Amino acid sequence: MNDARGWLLHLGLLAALVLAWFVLPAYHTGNLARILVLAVYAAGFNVVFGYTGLLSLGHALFFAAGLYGLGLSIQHVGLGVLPAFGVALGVSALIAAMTGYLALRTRGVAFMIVTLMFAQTGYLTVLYAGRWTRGDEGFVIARSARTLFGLDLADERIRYFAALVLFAIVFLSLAAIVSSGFGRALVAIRENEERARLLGYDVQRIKWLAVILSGTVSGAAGAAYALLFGYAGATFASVQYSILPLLWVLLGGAGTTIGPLIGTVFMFYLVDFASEITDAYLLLVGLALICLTLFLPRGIAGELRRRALPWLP
Amino acid sequence: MEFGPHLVLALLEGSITAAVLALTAAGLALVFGILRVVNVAHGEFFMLGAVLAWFVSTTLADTFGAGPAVGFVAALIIAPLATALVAILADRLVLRRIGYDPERTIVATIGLLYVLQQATLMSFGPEARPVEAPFNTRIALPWPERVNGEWVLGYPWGFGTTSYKLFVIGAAVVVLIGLWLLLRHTTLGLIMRATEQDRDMARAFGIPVTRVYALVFGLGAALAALGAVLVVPIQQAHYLMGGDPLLLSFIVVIIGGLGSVGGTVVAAVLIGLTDGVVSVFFSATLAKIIATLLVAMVLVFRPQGLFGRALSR
Amino acid sequence: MTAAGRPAATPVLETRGLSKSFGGVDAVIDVGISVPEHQVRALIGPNGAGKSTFTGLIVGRFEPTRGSVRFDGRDITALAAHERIRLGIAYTFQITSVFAELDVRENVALAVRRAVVGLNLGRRARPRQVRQRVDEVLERVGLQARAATLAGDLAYGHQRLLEIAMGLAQAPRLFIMDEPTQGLAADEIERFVALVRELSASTTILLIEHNMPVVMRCADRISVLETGRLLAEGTPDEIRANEAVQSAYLGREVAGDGPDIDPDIDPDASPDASPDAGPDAGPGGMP
Repeated sequence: MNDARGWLLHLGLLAALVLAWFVLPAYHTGNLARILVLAVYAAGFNVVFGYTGLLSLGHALFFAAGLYGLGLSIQHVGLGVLPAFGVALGVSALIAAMTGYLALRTRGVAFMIVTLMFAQTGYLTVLYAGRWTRGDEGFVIARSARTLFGLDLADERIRYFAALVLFAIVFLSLAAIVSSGFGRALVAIRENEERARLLGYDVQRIKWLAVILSGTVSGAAGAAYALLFGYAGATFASVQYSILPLLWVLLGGAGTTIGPLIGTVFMFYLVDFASEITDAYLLLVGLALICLTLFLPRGIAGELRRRALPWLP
Repeated sequence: MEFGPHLVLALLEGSITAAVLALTAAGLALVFGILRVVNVAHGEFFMLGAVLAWFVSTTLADTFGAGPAVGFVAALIIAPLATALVAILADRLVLRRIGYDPERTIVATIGLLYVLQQATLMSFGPEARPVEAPFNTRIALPWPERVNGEWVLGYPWGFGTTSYKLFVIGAAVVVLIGLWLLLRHTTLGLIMRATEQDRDMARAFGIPVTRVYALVFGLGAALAALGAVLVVPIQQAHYLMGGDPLLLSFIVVIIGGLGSVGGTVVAAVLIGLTDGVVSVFFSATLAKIIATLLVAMVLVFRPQGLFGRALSR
Repeated sequence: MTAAGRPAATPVLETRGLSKSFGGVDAVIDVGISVPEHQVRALIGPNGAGKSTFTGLIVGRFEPTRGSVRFDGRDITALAAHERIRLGIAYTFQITSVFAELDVRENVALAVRRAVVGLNLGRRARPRQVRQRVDEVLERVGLQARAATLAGDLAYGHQRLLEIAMGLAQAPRLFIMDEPTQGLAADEIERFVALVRELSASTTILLIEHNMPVVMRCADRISVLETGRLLAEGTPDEIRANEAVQSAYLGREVAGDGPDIDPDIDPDASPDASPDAGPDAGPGGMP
C-alpha cells in the first residue's frame, strides 16, 4: 500500500481484533473466530470477483478442497497438522489451476455456469466417496489430533488467535498484492479487458494466476475451518457455500480489502438473529441478495470509498 | 425381469423425465433467448407449480369434496397461472430495475431462489406431500418370448406402465407443439422473436419491449410450473424439489444451445432418456457427476451447444 | 542505423498478401504495404473498405485468413495481440477505449508499468519511476492539469488525447491510430497534427483517417483501400491527382452534385467493374 492511511487502517483493524478477545464476552469471541476464518474465504473470493471482475459460482470447490485436504489427511492418513495444511494448500492450488485453466476459456455467463458445474462435480464426488468423507453426515476430527506445537487448537483462546493470525497474514498480503503491479493489472482487466490486452498485458495468464491465488486462499480458509472447528461435511462443498462468499463480498464491498470482513460479520449476525426467529433464515439471505443488487451494488465499503474515502484500498 | 424389458422400462421412465424436462427447459431457454438472462430461480418456479397444485387439489377436495380429476384439472390451470404472476411480479420489482444486467440478474435470481424456497418452507412445511392422479389404470405391456420354439407375445410380470404416465408424455408433446405454433405462427410469437433478434429495433417498431419481457418471463415460469403439475402425481411435492430440475434444465439448455427451443427439446429427450437408463443400471450420483462434467466441458469447448448461439457476451 | 543494428532498409511494418474473410465476406484481400521507419503513413478509403479490419490484423485482434505481418523484419503473424504490443506497437481504438472508472494518472500508469516492467513477476517498477514517466507523458499531451480526473469524466477530445498518451507511454516503435481526430474540435485537431509531426521523429505512425485535410497535412505517404483491396499508394499529391481514388472516394465527396451514391449499390455500375479496370470504369463516374 502506498498510502499511510491505508496501513493505519489495516493495522488498526488488526489491533482492534486483538483487543476484542479481551473485551468481548465468550459468545462473541467464539463467533469471531468462525467469522475470521470465513472472512479469509471471502477475501479469497474477492480476488477473483472484486478485483478481477470474474463472477465464479464455484468457489466452494476450493474451500472444500482445503477442508477435505486437511481433514482426510489427518483422519485417514494420520498426518500432522502442518503437513496436512500443506497438503490442503497444494490440493486447492492444483484444483484451482486445472479448473481455472478450463473455465477461463469462457467468459461472462458461461464462466459462471462452468464454475458452478465444476463445484457441483466436487460436491457430488464428496458424496460418492462417502466411504472416506461420510458424505452429508461428515466426520469429526478428534481434538487430540488438532494440536500444533503443543498448543490445543480447540481451546477457545488459542483457536481465536490462530484464526486471527491466519486472517492477519491473508489480510495484509492481499492488501500488498492489490496495490502492486499485478493487482493493478487485475483491476485493469476488470475495467476494460480489451484495452488491457492492447496495452500488452497477458490477460489470460494474469486471470489464471488470480484464480490460483484465489483458490489457494479459499482452500486455506477451508483447511483452517476443519482444523479449528474439527468438522468436515458435504454441505461445505455445496452450492450454498459458493453463494455465501458472493453475498459477503457484495455486502461488504467488492474490490476493497476490508469489504470481505465487513460483509462476513454483518451477514453472520444477521443470520444469527434471523435463526432465532425462524428456521427459514435463508429467506433473509435471499432478500439481502436482492436488496444488495438493487440498491447497494457497491457494498458498504464500496459506497464508503466512493462517497468519502477515495484512498480506501 | 430380463434385461430387454428392464431396458424398455427404463426408457419409458426416462421418457417421462424427458417430457417434463423438455417443458421445464423450454421455459428456461425462452427466457434466455429473449431476455438474455439466466434465471437461477427457475427450479423454484417448478417447485411452486407442484406446491400450488397440491394446494389447489387439496382445497378443492376438502372444501368442495371434489374428486382428484376435478382437482387436477383446476391445478393444471391455476398453478401455472399463479406461478406466472409471481414471476411477472419479480420481473417488475427487480429485474426491470436492474436493467436485465446479466451479472446482477444472476445474483438477484439467486436471492429469489432462496426467498421462494424458504417462503414455501415456512408455509408448506418440510414434508413431502402427495397429489392424487386424476386417473391411474395399470397397463401391462407385451414382450416377445420364446415358448415351445415359437415367438409369442407374453406379458412379463412387473413390465407395465400406467395410463397417467402415458398421459404425461402426451400432454408434454401437445404443449410443446402449442409453444412451437405460438412462436412460429402467431403475431405474439412474431413479436417475441423480433424482440429476441434485436431489442432496439423492436422498440423502434413500437413493440413494448418491457411488456414482452414480463410476458416471456411469466411464460417461462408457467412452462416449468406446468411440467411440475404433470409430474407431481408421480413424484410428490416438496419444498426442495426445484434443485434437480434446475440442474437438469441447465444441462439441457446448454447442450441444446441456449436460445434454441428446438435444440432444447432434442437435448431434453437425450438427457431424459439417458438419465432414466443410467439411474436404473448405475449409481445415480455417478450419473450426475458425469452429466455435470459434461455440461462444463461442452461450454468450454463448444459454447454454442448443439444448435444454439454462443452463450458468451 | 535503427535499433538493434539492423540495416536501415528494413521497414518497421510490412504486410504481404494479408487477407481476412469473415464467413462469406472478404473484408481484406491481399493487401501488402511497407512502412519504413519514421514515416507517417495514412490509410484511407470509403466506409467498409476494410481499414479497421486491416489494422486489426496488424495488431493481432484478428487472425488473418492468408498472408503475413512483419514487424522490424520479424514475422509476427503467429503472435498474440499482447505479444505484438510488447514488441513495441501502440494502438488506439476507433471508438475511444480507456479505463473510465480510473483516473487519468492511473490510466497512463498502467501503460507505463507494463512497458517498463513487462510484468515479469520478478521485476517491479519503482513507484517513483512510474510517477515520473506518467508526469512526463501527461505534460507532453497537455493533460497534466487533469491528472486526478476520472477518465470517464473527461470531455471526448481529452479522452482521445488520453488514449494517445497511453500509447506514448509505451515509447513504441510503431504507433497505430484508428481515426484519432474523430469527434475532436478544430483547435484540438490542430494540436493533434502538430503532435503527429513531432512524434514522427521518434517513432513510425500508421494512421486511419477520414479527415482529408488532416491526412494531406500529416502523411508522408498514403495507402488507399477500397472494398478490401489496396487501390493506390503514393504521396499526398499523387493520391490527390489519382483519378481512380477520386472516383472511388474523394470524387464523390468533392463533387457534391447529385445524390450520394453508395459504391456498393450503384445501379449504374457494371457488376464486373473493379478498381483495376481503369480510371473511367469506376462506379458513379467523375464529373
